[in-house]
Amino acid sequence: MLNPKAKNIKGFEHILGKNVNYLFFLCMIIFFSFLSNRFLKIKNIENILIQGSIYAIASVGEAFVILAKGIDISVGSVLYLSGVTGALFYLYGFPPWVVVIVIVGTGMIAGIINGLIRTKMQISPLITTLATYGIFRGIALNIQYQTRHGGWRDLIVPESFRFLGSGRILYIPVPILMTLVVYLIAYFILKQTSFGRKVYFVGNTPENARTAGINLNKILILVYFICGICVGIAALAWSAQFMKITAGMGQEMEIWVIAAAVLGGVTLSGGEGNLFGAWFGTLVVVTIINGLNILGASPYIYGIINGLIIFIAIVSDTFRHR
Amino acid sequence: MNNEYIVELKKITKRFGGVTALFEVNLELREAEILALVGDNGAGKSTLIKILSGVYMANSGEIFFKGKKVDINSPQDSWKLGISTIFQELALAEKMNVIDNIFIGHEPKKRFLGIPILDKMQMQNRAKQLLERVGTQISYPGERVMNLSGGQRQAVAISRALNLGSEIIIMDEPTAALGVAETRRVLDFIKQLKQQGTSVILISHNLPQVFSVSDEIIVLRHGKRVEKKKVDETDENEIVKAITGVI
Repeated sequence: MLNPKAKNIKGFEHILGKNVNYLFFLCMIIFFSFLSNRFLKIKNIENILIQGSIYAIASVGEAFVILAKGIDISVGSVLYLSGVTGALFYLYGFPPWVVVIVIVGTGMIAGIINGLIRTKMQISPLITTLATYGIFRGIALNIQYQTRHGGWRDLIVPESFRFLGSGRILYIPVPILMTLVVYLIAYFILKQTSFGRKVYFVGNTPENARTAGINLNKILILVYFICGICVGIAALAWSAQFMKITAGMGQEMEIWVIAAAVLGGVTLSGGEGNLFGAWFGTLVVVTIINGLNILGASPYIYGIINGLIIFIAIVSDTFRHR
Repeated sequence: MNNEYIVELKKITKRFGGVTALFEVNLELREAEILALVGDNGAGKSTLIKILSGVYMANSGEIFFKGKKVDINSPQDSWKLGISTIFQELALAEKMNVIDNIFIGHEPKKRFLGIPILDKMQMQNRAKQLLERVGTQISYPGERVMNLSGGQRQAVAISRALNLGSEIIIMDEPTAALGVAETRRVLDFIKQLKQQGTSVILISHNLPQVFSVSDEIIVLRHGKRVEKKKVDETDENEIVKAITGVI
């Protein structure tokens, strides 16, 4: 039997391990605020939330997939494909509202394709989305290359998108409002509907979900469908913030989005975690990127930081389940 | 007793590759009857009930429900007919709480701005009622299933079946993982179900238990039905002989 002192130390280690993500976030804030007095300014915090909106919205979709014991590593490619398809429609003279539908709709269709391959062909989620990661990005690159007659120039988006990227409603930046709306709807679906309960149940034990009378394939297709819609909306937020579609759009985004969801408490093994945790995870990721930008860090350091974040995310995930 | 069968399986055959797990097996279940399904390991008991509960599909044979031929192609089909199965593995989600596990897929709902949402208050109250009816002590229905004992988990699985108001409840080795007191409680509960008009198919290795609660016994051996007896017309020796094939 442990003596009380040893027990206290063990308890402390456990609490520390469980909350390593929050601690990490706090350390980052202290670190960056010491190095730059611009970091904790209201303007910069607002910037973090605006920049984070793209990742935050995409990580909602990723959270749905991971909660159902899946993974989607094609989100960056879907984001790019959605943006390119929307810009293509704009190029051919379609009005902005059609472009919006096309951007979100492309994400949705890509999500359904992921879900159908995953369920109908019984292929593991990692392999499924690894394949579509390449295919979707390849298609998008081809579209962009061909529409510019073999050049790598950027594609443009409707001017009215600027409001979505840098406009304000009641003093609040639109990207932050977009993020909030997506989170509230997703939170409502997950916590208040029967479908939400089923997502968690499937994530716990897919085999048991089937015997408990849940239509497993339907739930899996739906989570990829939701992920696709979220990535479509994230693509819209991206296009509106940058006002152009560049060839490298969404590259490596999947890593950041998965790390954000896991840092926020969505368990990689599925069935546990919540959306606001995913938002928190996104803020950690974006805060670090923002801090490095402010400090004018070398571009080569980002890869190391990326790896460190994933490491911290996995450590906190592991500790939570001890 | 009403002689009309509520469920009838006729000539059910199930093959897994080259292995014949069941060969032309018949099963008849009356209303408010407790039917025990016994047999050695690998005799085909679980396979047979998995066909009735929609987990497996038979290669040939017919299923009749209240005299009408039905197709059961998925667990949902079985639940819709009013057949609930409590599998040996219980089909629970460990990281979810008791309430969520009881109601999964069949939650009471209310409307919010015209959208059906979970009626959490009703879920909580009804969960307490169901757990009381099963006779278990789970003080806090918000507890995660991973923190429950074997008997409490069994109670959650039974509560789920009760919530659906099923006419038929299938239990696969319900007492295998339980202590003495918990086993007694489950057996009493099975008798109580019969009194309330529910039919039960009970799979068990434990013959004294089978004799203490069942009305009829079907014996399977090597995927074939070798015996069907009323409990009061047979004894343990005869059933053991049928199970083992030793004359």
